[in-house]
Amino acid sequence: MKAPPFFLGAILLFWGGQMKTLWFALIVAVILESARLVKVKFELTPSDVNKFVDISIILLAGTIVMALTIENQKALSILLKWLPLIFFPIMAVQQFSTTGKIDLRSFFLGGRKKVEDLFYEPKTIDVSYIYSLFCLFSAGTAKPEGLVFYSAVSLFFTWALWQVRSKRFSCWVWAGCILGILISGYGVQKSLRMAAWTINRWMIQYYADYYTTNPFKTHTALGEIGKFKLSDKIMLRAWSDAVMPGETFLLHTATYNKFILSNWFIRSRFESIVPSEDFPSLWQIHPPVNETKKMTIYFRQGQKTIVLSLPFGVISISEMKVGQCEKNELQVIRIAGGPSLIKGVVSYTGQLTYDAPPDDHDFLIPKKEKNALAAIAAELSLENKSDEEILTCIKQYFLTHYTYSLDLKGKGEAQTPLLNFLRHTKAGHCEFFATATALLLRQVNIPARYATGYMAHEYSRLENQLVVRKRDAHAWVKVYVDGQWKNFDTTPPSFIKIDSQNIAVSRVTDLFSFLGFKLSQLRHETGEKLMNQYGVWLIVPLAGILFFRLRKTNRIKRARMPGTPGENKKQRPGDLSFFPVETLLSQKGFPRYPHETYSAWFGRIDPYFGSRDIMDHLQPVLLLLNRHRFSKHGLNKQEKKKFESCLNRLLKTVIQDLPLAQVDGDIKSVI
Amino acid sequence: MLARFLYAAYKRGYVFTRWRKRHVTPPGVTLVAISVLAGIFGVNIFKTSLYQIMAAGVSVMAVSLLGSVVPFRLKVRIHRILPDYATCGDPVTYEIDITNLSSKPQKGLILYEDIQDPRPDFETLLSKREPFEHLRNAWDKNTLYYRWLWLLQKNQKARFRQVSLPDLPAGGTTRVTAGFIPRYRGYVHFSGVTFARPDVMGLFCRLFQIKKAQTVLVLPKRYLLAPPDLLSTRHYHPGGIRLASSIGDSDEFMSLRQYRPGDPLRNIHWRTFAKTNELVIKEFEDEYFVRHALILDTFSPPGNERIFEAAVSIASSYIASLQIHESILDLMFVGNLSYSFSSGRGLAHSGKMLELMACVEPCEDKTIFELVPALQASIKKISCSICVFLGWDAGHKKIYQMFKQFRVKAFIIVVAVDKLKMEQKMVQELTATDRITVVEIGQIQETLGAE
Repeated sequence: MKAPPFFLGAILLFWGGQMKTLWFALIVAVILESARLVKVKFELTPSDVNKFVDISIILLAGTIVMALTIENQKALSILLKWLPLIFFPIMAVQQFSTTGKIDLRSFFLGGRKKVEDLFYEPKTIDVSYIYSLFCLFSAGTAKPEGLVFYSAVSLFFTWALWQVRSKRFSCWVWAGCILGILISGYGVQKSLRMAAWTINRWMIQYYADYYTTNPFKTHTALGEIGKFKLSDKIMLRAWSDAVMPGETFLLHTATYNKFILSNWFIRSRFESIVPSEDFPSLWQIHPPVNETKKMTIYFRQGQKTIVLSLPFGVISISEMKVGQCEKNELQVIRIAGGPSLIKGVVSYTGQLTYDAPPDDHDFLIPKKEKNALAAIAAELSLENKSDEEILTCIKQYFLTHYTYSLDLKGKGEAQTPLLNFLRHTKAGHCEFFATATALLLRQVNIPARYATGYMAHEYSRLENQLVVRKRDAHAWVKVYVDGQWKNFDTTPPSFIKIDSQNIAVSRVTDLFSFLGFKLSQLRHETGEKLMNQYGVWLIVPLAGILFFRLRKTNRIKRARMPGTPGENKKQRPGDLSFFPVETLLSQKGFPRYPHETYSAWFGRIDPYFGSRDIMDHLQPVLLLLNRHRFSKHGLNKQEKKKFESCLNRLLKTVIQDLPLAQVDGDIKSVI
Repeated sequence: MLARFLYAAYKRGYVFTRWRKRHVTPPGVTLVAISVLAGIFGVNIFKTSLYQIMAAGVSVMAVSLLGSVVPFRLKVRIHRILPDYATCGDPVTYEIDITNLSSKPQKGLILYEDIQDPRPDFETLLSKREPFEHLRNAWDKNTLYYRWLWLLQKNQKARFRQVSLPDLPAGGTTRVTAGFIPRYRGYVHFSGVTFARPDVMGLFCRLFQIKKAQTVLVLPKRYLLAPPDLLSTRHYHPGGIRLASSIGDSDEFMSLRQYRPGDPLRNIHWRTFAKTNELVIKEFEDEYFVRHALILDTFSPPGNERIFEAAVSIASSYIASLQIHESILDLMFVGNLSYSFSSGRGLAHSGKMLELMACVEPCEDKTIFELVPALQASIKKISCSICVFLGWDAGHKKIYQMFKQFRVKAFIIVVAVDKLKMEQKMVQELTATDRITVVEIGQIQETLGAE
């Protein structure tokens, strides 16, 4: 099936219009459509066609690599966008070849095997409709605007279907069917859109109400961090003037306020943050304040959406190239889209100023744990103490009565793991301490929330920055006292040491991780910066390399203007030349042909010298000259002097005395 | 187990492909592909407009499918005017008379020729070898897919194309030209024809089948070969009417010549002797008929299909080119049994021999020694022989020796994939190759062809 005349051109122009590359599309369209007018076609062998197919495959592979490098999330749309250009060589070769079709085997490396040639007949296809499809797909990736795209699709469908309609039915029947198709198609696409919107709304509602998925970080189960702690994988890297080696530093990831069935939940909606128009990589989380600290953090983005681990009181994040950034009222910040390594320069206050004020959820205590907590509160006589005293008392209580352990014991004989921790084991990791503390505080009517994040404490001398591993995952409590939220951590401080001892760090893995980090940094940060600043200058060396390669392969030659004689080559100092002899002999009527070697020339003119023994003088000079020109070692100084003296003698004494050529009375007859 | 599963899958796959090819036109396939791809890539309708392509495609398909479910019946009579024979590789055109018996004209129909089910059985799939199977990779070999394709093509014998029919007037007869390209020798069994009625969009078809069984014999591919230098004289061979329609010396007087010792005394022309005192002999027309043998080696192991087909082509070419009305040609080969057929001088004509050649199958479980007894029985009658061998081993050498022993001139052709290797093998085995011609596959015309 061959596309009808001007179908390709029209669809390419539509693609150009949608992609805002109309001029480019116009050129491609003109090239492809001109094949109908141009009568000269190329007779291409299968291997020639294979080469064009290979070019397209290389372009495709290159585009995929480039698309993945630029932006992982948009790789598919970038690829679709350039499909018409990627497959242009194949389309062009079909249009301008005598066969007008492409051998199907060219598309498969296996199909190009000799066995196929020997046995199976070639199958050829016309790729014009496939190419048109690529153009239409590519145009479809543009931002949807009203009914433009559907109108164009309708037009191209009608155009193509007209070619293949059944002759059994009249044109009016066909036109009626087409009209019905277009109307029903419009209805279908509208229904699809409505359905998608409905599903989208439902999904949002579902996630907001039932907190089910982890990418949105709306819940965490007791033991989740415990599992995290078993790995030494580096999660993020941070650098700040404010952090000194040996200090510990909390990085906040998420805050939860509702504890049900050993799970912490969050009931809060995320709101989008709009980046600055002037600086698209600046995300203003809160209104600017005067005194802020700065910290540079590098995150690895393994998933589509990640929740950032940041210092407290984030004001803004600059230099963060991501597609979307959202925050909720509990200061959980999540991002979507962007390269695999994300850099963010965080301005922060270090205070929990922006957390939402306490509400009813911050006082909830599950029924199963209520009795145990009440017993502990009674044991500690917390009811008659001030908030500060309660905090001190609770901290002291956990420090003296409980021990830190990474051994996850589950619920044992108790009803819940927390009860097992409180009543029996009295040992656990940060999650248990934080949960127990939060609930104990709530027991005495102090609002408390459960916070997760990382305890950054490891300063890498290799990397000269803070490295935060999975094992540094930590949980603590945000407590509302004196009208503001404060961090309150009851986990015994020895946990850092215990974690470090239990989960060994592999230096080799760290080294590879660092190399990977540096490579990513080079790719996403330095490379981009260099390309932006100095990208243009890359053209100069590349053009130079291209020039020298072309020059080396004699593909560049200086064109002489017609009618102008070539310039005489300048003699280099120290160079030996036979040119004076040649000039003099030429003046005497014995010119050398341009194609003639000196030996052949001398051989030709020798008979005209008669008895004169000029050749006896010429030959030694010529011998030396040839050695100078072609011998690997050339002539030494003495030999050069000898050459000069011989040449002078030859010129002054022998050739000078020669009469003008008198052969048949005409100089030209010697030539 | 896996092979059986693959066989079942291929069988069903063939049925589905055949169904799809007849029910869905190429534009229909394209549209389905477009809709599916647009659905996959345009799943996120908030980012692209590709779902609109899918919507339009689905609408077209829906209308087209609705149109194709309308029942379709035809009242037609068909009559194929087929040639008796076709030749492998040469395109064949034939005509079909279609009489529309209804009172309604028919427009825009497509005609497909139905041939007998070409699907091979499971045992054949396992036992046969595709000609280039040794060049295939392990995956291709193990999945048997290419072998399946090859067997399908082999059983189909020919490649047919659909015929777009002109308008069929009510009550009128329309003659259409159809054609096929025979790819393998043997019988092409036509079982009927299928009429396809495309829907208004031309994407999906409704079918109507009519049974009409016929056959065409596809003869082997033949070359224009140079006639071999065959001895056409009697050399201790028995003659007489018993061996031919008129054998021996007839009573037809030809000429007189000088007596040579050994001439029968009863043919001396005594009148001339009386007049001239010199012995003169009466010459009569020789009624002895030269008997040639064409020996075809059919002992081919699985996977040697190309060599065997080349050998059959060479043998067929000689059958077609030899002037067998001047002689008798004995064709000898082994199938399930050892066969010997004679043609020429009123016994049979070469067409029959070619029919045999069209249907000869390789013998995979016997050796060429099977042919020796038949050859021994008839070698004394043979003046000269053409042997087409598929290789060179002890059996072939024995036949070669037998011809030498009985002083029967033999023109031996050995078909080989690699001529050089075969010649080297013969030299190593000290075989006198003066009367043996090694022919490489694909070089038959160049090696044996007429100048």
